[in-house]
Amino acid sequence: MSDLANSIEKLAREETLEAAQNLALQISQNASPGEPEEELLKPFIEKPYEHIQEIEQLARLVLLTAAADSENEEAVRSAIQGAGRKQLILGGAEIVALATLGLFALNLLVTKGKSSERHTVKIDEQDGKTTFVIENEVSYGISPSLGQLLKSYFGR
Amino acid sequence: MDIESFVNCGTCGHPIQLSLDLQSIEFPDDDELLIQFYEGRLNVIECPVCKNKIPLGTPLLVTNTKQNSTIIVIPDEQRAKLEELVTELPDDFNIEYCSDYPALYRAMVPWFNDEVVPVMKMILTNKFYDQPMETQIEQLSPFFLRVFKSEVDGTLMQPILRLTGSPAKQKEWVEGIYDLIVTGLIRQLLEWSVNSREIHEMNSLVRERIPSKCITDNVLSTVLGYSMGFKDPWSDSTDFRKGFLRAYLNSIVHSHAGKENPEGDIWATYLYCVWKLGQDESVTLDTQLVLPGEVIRQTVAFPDLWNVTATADNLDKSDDRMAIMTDRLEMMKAFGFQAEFEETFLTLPIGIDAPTDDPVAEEKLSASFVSVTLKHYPFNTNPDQSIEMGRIVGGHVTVLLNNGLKDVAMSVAKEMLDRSVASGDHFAAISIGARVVEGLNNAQEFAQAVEITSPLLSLLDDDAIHNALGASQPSLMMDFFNEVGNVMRHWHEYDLALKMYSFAEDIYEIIPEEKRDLHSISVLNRNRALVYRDMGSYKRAKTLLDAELAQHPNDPSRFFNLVMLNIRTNNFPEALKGLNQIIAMIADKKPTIEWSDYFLCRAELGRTLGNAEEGLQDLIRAYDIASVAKSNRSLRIAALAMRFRSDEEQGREFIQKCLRTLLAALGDKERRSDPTLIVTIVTQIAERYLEEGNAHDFVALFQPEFEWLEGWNLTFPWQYDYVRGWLAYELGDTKAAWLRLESAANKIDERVPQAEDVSFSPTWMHDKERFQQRLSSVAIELVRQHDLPNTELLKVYELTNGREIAARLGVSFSPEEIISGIGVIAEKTNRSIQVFFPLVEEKTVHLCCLSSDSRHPKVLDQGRWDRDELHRMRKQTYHALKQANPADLSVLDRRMRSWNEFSLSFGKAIAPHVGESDHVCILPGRDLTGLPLHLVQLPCGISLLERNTVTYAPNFAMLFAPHNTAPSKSIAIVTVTKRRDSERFRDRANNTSNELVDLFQNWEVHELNGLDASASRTLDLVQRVSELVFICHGAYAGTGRGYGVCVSDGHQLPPSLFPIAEVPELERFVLTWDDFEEVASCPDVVISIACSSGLTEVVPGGTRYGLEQTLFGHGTRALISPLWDIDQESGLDWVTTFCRAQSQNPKQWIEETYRETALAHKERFPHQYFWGSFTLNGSLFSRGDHDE
Repeated sequence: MSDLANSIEKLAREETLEAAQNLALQISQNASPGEPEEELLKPFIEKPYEHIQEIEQLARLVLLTAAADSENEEAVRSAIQGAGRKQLILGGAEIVALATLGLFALNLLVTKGKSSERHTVKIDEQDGKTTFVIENEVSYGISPSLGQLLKSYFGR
Repeated sequence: MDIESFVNCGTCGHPIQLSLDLQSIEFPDDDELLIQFYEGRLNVIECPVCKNKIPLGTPLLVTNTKQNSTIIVIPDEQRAKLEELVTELPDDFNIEYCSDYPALYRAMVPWFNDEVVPVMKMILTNKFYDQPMETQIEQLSPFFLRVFKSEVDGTLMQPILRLTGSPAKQKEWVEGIYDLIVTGLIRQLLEWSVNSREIHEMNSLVRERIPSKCITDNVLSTVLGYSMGFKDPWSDSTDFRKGFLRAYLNSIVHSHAGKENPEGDIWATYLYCVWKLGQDESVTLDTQLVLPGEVIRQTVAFPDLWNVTATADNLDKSDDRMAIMTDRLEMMKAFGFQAEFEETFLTLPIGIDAPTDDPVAEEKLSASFVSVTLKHYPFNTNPDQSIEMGRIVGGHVTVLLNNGLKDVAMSVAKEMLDRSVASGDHFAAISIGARVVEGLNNAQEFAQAVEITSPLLSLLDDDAIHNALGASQPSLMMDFFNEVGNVMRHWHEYDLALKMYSFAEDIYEIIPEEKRDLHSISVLNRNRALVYRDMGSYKRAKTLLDAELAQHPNDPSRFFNLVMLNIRTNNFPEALKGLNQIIAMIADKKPTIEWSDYFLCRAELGRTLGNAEEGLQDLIRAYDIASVAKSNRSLRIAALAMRFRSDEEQGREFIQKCLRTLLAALGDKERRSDPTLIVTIVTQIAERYLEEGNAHDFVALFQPEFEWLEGWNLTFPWQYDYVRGWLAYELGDTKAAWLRLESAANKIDERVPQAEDVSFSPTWMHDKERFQQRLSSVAIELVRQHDLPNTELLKVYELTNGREIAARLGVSFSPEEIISGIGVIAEKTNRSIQVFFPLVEEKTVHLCCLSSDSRHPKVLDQGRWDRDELHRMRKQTYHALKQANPADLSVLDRRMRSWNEFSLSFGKAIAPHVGESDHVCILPGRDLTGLPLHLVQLPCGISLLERNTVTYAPNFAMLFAPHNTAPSKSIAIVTVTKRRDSERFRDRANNTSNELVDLFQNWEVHELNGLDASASRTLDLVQRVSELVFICHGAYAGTGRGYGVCVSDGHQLPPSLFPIAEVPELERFVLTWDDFEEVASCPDVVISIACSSGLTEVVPGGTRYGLEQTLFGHGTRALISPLWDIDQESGLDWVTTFCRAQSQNPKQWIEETYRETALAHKERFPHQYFWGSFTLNGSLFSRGDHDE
């Protein structure tokens, strides 16, 4: 595992959320999430804290997926650097904003913003474990419910 | 012991408060707790967030007196604390200690075996029934039955029976035995009580011996079978006693299990039979069959009893319905169902087409009521009879009113009153008066209620009568004065109402203590509360209502009074919460006319909170309930329907129906006796026409109504002036419009809660939003046309922005005072002052300016923005700043484009009015609040704050707010990090705190750090210092509370995430504006680095929810805090720089120190995100040591 991936793994939950938000805003440029993201994440939006583990996993996925591409390395580092510096405790609305933005950003990372260069994404389910896999790049264990959600999102 | 602690959920880490009090359990009597233990549920709670089950391990003391043994579960380290308790146990008690629940389980196995296993063995070997009946009953203890039930359900941690065969068959077999045992026990209890005890004891025997959870559907069905074949005791009296007993047993078992009895009507028939036979002197009745009222109430449902007696009416074939009713009432009274009876009776239709409009028929009807009543209740028989007669007449009047026969009702009431006075039966007169007035009040026929009241008050002017009645029938007199007080309240004669309640209370005082009825004083207090509420003395009303509700927590009508108070003060979310609770409370009860009020209110709340369709459904229910009685209540509901719009056909039809009803009412001469009703109707119809753009149609149809109303010399509500002003505006008569709107504005302004009621002022303005916009529109238009003095712009701003803050400050300034005030400050500080403030129309924001030079407020031609665009820009700016990455601000720069455009346009609008050395004060109002206007770019290329001193204030009242007291030199520094902040983060916070302590060496310095900085300690400290610095995190505490400052809860630091909507318990970690409500005073200067703590949420009515509201209200004159989520390192540096400058140059105006700090900070942190984050909000040039 690279240094960057290591430092992502070591981030505390709230730092992960903040870093993923920083990164998502950086890579999404002026675009913003829309109805598909909000619709899929409805259960998370209604009760973000109840789904905090999945949202955290999603945030780490965003960071790890970006970190796997050397083009994004600098952006990931700066996103991590900006996390945990504010005099703020993230609330429900902020967690929700991150979740929708994170999902949107993950799609941008996977498609590189263009449908022709899309990576192959697989949600593996073996021996009761669910894994998000981008061939030859990222493999990250996630919860079955997040797996289900990502399946619907990337399968559309 | 009273110890509290916290445990963190093992799955999500959510902190859960738990009590460590020792819990005591008796074995085997506490069967419910013991079963929870054997099922592994005892002291296990569910995490409110992740739903994980968390064992709390609460200390237990389990005592078995049969075996002189006690087992105590307590962690080893706490054992010493039990010494005192253990010495209280008898010496011969065997005491055993366990450290956890599994150990307790093991220790209790012998007890369990002794209690359960022998009985179970006898049952399974069929030897059980060989024993005498008493032994069988004794052995089937409630504990045994509960264990057996758990065994059947499979919920015991360790099953008792080990069986072979398929699980389904095993279950079926065990269930069969269980049902047999329980039904057998029920029959034995019947037999036992019939043979050796009293029949009525069977009820308590079943309840004591068989836990309700043990009565399964199979058991119920078997018991139901016992009573088959005993259907109609009237037609077949054979085996009456047997049938009675079976029906009785069936009813006991069903009511104990909490299930509806399918043969409840049969039981009711038996009860009615027994009662009826008991009335017949020729019948000798088995006295065992006459059950106590308490047992009857527990076993029979009122509707069953009502229906049975209704059938019996037909059997009687009597024409005298009143006699039947009286008969029925007697029985219901004997059984304790009087209240339910009266409630049902009063809503009965009497089968007469109403209104008859035939004076002869009406007169005949009235005479018939009077003669029937006098036949049963002649005057002067005895006081009790006379008082009862009042109740009967009151009941007649209510029934007549509910059937739309108001004239007949009044005729009956007056006739009976006249006759009672003429015959000298003053008891009857006062009782009739009290009950009739109550009925008229409920039907909202207040003018008629006053008519009834007046002659009776004259009668009581005679001291002899007054004193005689008071001495012999104090309760009756209390009742009377209470009802008269209610009339006065409805008639808005509040002082008179309070006087009447005082009379009633005086009478209460002379009643000997042992004879006092606490209920009557409680009713008086409630009514007083309602008067206070209607007078606008909200705090007094709330105190009384809270006390009432504490004593009657499950009384929907008392609860509703509190809801009404919340509605009156526009505290809609709280009101909705209360109403939902009330409606849940009454869900399975029979509707009464008062319910229409519950649904009406929820309808109105639904509309206000944006759920108009749902609200309309509630309104339809309210209307349907109220329409049962043909009173003004349904008309008032119909008037409210005019405020609704619907996309559904049913909704639209309902609104149209209501409109037709209102138009018919306007043409009804009888309705004209109540002009307040006409005001309501006309106002609501006018508003609807105006909203639909039909001003001319309205005038054509309804102008005469206005003329008619103006003839009454009424004090019209502000809403009436509002619609008249709006109408004049739509018709092009702007000057007339202003006069009406100004009148409405003055009425609103006068009624804003002040002084002790000031805490209600923030919500009080919520429903004035649209009025405020219209007021602004007309003012701007008239000022532009030179038809209104420019100074009125100041007045409009003050009414539409932070009016609640002015109420808290207890000051308000006229336009002339504002203009002169600004001149005085300009002179004092030797500089020009420019105040910019927006006025908001429906679609446009206009920027206005007041200059200390010209002293002439004006609307700026270039300061005009589309509200929708402005809102979009504000939202984008808010998110861009909030989500900025302090390590890389390129994204922020990109996202601030729309702000940059606005910034240029704002700068351009103000630039011609701002000199280089002027002070600029921005009152951002509702649409510009939250924008970094101190950073707008001037045409010369630099930001405003770089060139001028700039401050904010919510309104002019705050701008000129005087100091409460001379500030002392004392400062508090509150430093709290969150639980998982990094060490570096914590160190930086603590180092800054230490540095500030050093800077203020000559001051009295108080420090509160970490866990010590709980909400209560912080609030205590803020009252004792003149400056306060928060080095804390910020968090959003939800709509209505806005951003706050995070503190500890005394046990833990704030958590790392703050989803307060989902986990409301987190409230204890945040201080928001409402937490400062109760403090006596707040520091003169408050500096906070908590993220976004400078943000204020502006809600309808221009109400401002943010720290500023209560801080300013309690004495703070300068609030320095960030508008967005700031970087800690830079924030700490900013605050240190500011405090250093302040300590080095205490005589400098705070406005200057603030600006210099920002500029100095810019040197080290050049981006506006860092140096421009803090704002100075407060009163103008009030802080600096110049004044000392």
